[in-house]
Amino acid sequence: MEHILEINKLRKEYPEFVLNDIDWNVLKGYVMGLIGPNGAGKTTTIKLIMNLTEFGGGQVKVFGLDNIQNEKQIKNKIGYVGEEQYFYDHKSAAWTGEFVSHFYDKWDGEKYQSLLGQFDIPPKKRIKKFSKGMKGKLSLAIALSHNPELIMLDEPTSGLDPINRREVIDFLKTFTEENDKTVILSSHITDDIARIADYITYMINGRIVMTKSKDELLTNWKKVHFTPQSLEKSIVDKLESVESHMFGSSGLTKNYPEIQDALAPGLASGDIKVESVGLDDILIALVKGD
Amino acid sequence: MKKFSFWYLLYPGLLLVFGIPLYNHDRLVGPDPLGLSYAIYLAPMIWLVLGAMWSHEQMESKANGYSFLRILPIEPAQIVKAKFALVFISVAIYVGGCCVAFALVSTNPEYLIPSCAYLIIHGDICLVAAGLLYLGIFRFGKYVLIVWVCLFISPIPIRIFVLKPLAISDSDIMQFMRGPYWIVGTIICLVGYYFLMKLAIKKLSDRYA
Repeated sequence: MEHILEINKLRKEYPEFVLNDIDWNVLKGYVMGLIGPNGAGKTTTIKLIMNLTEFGGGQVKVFGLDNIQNEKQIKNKIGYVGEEQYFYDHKSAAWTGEFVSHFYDKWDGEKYQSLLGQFDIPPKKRIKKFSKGMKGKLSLAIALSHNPELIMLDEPTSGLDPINRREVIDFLKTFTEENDKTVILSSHITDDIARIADYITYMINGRIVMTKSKDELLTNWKKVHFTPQSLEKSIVDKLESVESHMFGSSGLTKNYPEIQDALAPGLASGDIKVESVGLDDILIALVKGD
Repeated sequence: MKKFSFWYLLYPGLLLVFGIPLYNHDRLVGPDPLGLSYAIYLAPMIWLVLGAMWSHEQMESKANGYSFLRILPIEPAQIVKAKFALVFISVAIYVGGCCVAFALVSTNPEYLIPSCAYLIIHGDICLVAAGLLYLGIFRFGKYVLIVWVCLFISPIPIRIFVLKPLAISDSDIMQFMRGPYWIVGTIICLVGYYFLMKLAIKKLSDRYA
């Protein structure tokens, strides 16, 4: 399978944070979710891919091309929505569309108009009168209107109310399914990522700690509730984030198929219960174990 | 470039429009047919062209324009070239417009060339000043534009503290402008402007990197 993004030993140092020689690949045609707590390095990584901040070392290849030497060519094929949206905010959405159309080879004016309509963005209203949600949606409309091969979204739903958030995520889900696009979606809101991602990367303290397919993650990671003596110690030792409470204990396994047989008797007797976990449970376990 | 040309062309346009009533025929062909004295009043106004830079850079800064442009597929060189081209066009329109107006109303060719040369030299210096200002803006930010205010008022102290004490009269200036010096000066300034543009491209690229 072809990689649309290849990162080797990417490094960036700030006084209180280091993006630590990360290696990361993203497959073409899939949605990659990038999950991590605030300050994990998600935005820095995306900015480095977009060449929006100074490199500290390493290499980024997008579409097989070096992202610094081929910046213009690469940006022409990337739809980017940043954490903060910048526009000439004394201008309108219509003016902005006309303005950016000169820079993209495959700008589709009709699609832009249609997206403005779909997102309820008034074309003639000055952008400075837009709410944060409207600005986010305008940014998304621009990002999708030049037929990008790669869409990079950095916290696109942060600051949006639940209705706008759901609208944006549902739209992205439909859009990516219909158009077979590669998407990198960074967020600390795991629900958003769970809805659309095929692959998940966890990033903690400037390091990539895990990249797996979402299905694999949700199949392998389970929460096991057990009563005392119902589970062998060797199995308990394999569990993470083990907590004891009034009715027994619970812990997370990251390889459920491996212990499934050992749990069978306890499951049958009712002394053990297995529960699916969410992406945020995994994040919390990874942060605790880091 | 087209999108922002309005801001740049507004100033020379206004100067020309409001300047037209000043092109008083009597002043040029009357008892004192010294077109140069008129040019001396008009030339410093060219510094107002740099006001377009002020407006535009203020707007860029307020709207985080450079951050917006940064995410688009544009090279820093394109941004810098557009800005330098707009300043050049603005200056050319103002100087050219003034010279055309002079040529239309002046009946004495003897004064026409020195007067136009005087305006052109001012335009040349204005271009170099604009180039230096852009270089400063890309290196230190928009606050460098405060220098523009100093540049704008500079013709007044030059007149008071340099020309007057050295007893350099308007006629001396006119005499100087009759020679080939203004052509040489123009060539030097234009080459300088070009190299300032190259430096500004490097500076903006470094800032972006």
